[in-house]
Amino acid sequence: MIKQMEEIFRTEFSTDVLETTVLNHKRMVVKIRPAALLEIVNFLTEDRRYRFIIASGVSHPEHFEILYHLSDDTKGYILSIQVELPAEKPEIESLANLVPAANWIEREIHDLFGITFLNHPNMVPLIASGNWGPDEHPYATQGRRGIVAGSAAEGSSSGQKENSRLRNINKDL
Amino acid sequence: MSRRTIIPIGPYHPLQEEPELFKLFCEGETVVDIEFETGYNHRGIEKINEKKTFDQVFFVVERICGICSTSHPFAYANAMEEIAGIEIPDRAKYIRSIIGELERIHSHLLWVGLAGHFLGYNTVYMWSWKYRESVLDIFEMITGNRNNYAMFKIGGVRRDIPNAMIPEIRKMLDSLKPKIGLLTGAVMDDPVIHARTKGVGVLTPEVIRKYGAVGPTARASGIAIDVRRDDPYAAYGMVNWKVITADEGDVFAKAKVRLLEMVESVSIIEQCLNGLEKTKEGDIETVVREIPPGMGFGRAEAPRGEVFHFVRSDGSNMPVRHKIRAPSYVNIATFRESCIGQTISDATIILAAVDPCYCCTERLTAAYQTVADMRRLDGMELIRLSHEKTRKIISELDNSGSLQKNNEV
Repeated sequence: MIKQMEEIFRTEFSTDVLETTVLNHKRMVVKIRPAALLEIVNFLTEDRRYRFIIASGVSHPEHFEILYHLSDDTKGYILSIQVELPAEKPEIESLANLVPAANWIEREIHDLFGITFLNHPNMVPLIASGNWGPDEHPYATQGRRGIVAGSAAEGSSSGQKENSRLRNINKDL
Repeated sequence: MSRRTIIPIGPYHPLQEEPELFKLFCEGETVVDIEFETGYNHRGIEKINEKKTFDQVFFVVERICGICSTSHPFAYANAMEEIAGIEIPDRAKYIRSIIGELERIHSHLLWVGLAGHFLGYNTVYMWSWKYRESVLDIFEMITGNRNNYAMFKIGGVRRDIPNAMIPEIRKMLDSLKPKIGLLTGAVMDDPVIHARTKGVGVLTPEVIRKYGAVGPTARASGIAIDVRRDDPYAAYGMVNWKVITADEGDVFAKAKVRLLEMVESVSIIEQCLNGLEKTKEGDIETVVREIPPGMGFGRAEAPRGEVFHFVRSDGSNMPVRHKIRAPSYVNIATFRESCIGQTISDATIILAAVDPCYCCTERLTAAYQTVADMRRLDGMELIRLSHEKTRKIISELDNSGSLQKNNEV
C-alpha cells in the first residue's frame, strides 16, 4: 500500500517533507522543501526504481508550484512531488542531470511559466522559439509576468473569488 | 577531417505526427549527431482547457492526436473519475476497452504499412492499410465515425453497443484475424526485412530507463511496462491477456511487439464482447453531478505508450490546471541514442520505429535557404535511399541464392 511510502517519507525525510496527502490507494502527493528535490527524486528513481513520467507547472497568484510525477510500475502508484516557488524569484535545481527524461519538460516549463532551472545542461527554448519572446511566459498568471491581457485581475484573491463564482454560475446554466 | 553534412528532417515531414525538426549531422553515410527543434505546432491545448467545462474538454483532447484519438479522452476520463471518486458500470468499462483495443489494432496496422513503405515493401503497405479499413468499418458501425469517436464521458460512455450488433462485430473480427496472421508472417519470415531491421537502431534497457520511454518502444527493449496491466483501468483487470515484450531493442523487435500485440487486442475485444452479453443493455453511465475540488492523475495505454493527464479542480465546472503528456514526448528523445552511429538510409526506419504518428500530409523542408556546406535531403530522398538499400540487399541475397532457398522453403 502507498501508506508504506508515506511512512518512509515521514521517517527518512522528516525535515524535508512538509506534507503528505494520500488521495487513494495508488496516488499520493508529497510536498517537500525545494532544496531537497534532488535527494528525494534520487531516492525514488535509483533506490525504488520509480520512472519519471512528467512534471506539471502550476501558476498561483502569489507563487508557482511544480509537481514532479513519478510512477512505480510494479505497483501502479503515481507519486507527485510538490514544490512551491516564490513568484518573485522562481528557481529550482534542475533534475535533468539526474533524470535525463526531465530535460525537455524543464525547458517547456521555463518557456511557459518563466521558472529558472539551475544547472540545466541545455536551457534553450523548447516550444517558445518563433512563438513568443524569451521574456514572455503565457501560462504565468501573475499580471506582471504573463502576456495574457487581464491576467492581472486574476492575480488578486478577490479577483479569483469572483472568477470562481462566475464559473459556478456558468455551471448552473 | 571529413565533410559534415546536415540533413534536416522536418519541420513538416511524412515521418512525423507533429511538425518537428530533426537535424542529422552526418559524416559520409554515418549519423554522428542529432538535434531537435519543436514547438512548431504548440496549440496551447492545456490553456484552452482551463476555459472549457469538464464535458467540453473531451472534445478538445480527442483532437490532440489524429490517429489514437481515443487515448487522450481515455486518460482524461480516468483522471476525472479519480477526482470524483466514482466507479463506472461494467458495461461502460467493456465498451471503453473495446474502443481502446480497436484503436490499437488500426494504429499498429498503420505503422506496419508505413514501415513497409519506408523499407520499399509497398505490398505490405497496401495490404495493411487495406485491412485497417475493416477496423475503421467496425468503428463506423459502433460510433458513427471512422475517427474522433466521441464515445467517452465522465462516468461512462455516450453510446451503447447494442447486443444485436455483437455477432456482426465478431464476424468482422474473425475475418481480421487471418489477415493479421498473414501480415505477421510476411514481416517475420522475410530475410530482407531481417537484414534491414535486425540490429538497427538498438535501444538498450538502460537508455529506455534514462529517457523514461514507454509503450512498444520500451517493451521491445525488454522493459515490461504497460499501464493496462500495471495500473488497470476500464476492463483490463477483468480479461486475460499478456504483455508482449522482446529483448533485442532493434527495429525488428519493435515490429514484432506491435504485430503480436494486435493478436492480444483481438483476444481482449472478444472477451469484452462476452462481457457485454452478460451485462444489461443501456447500463452505460454513472451520473456525475458535481466535480469536487481535488487532483486526478489519469493514464491510459495508447498504441504508442502511456498517456498521462493531470487535472486539478477547484469545485467549479472547469479545470484549473490540465497537464497532458503524450507518449511521443518521451519516446522521441531516444532518437539521440538510436540514430547515432547508424547510416542515413537506416535513419528513416529508425525514426519511424517509435511510431511518432504519421497523420501529417507529406510536406517537406525545401523552403530553407541552403547554406554552403549543408546538403538538404528531403523526405522522398531519404525514402529513396532506404529503398535503394533494400534493393541492394535483395540482389545480394539473390546472388548468394539464399533468398531463393528461403522462398522454396
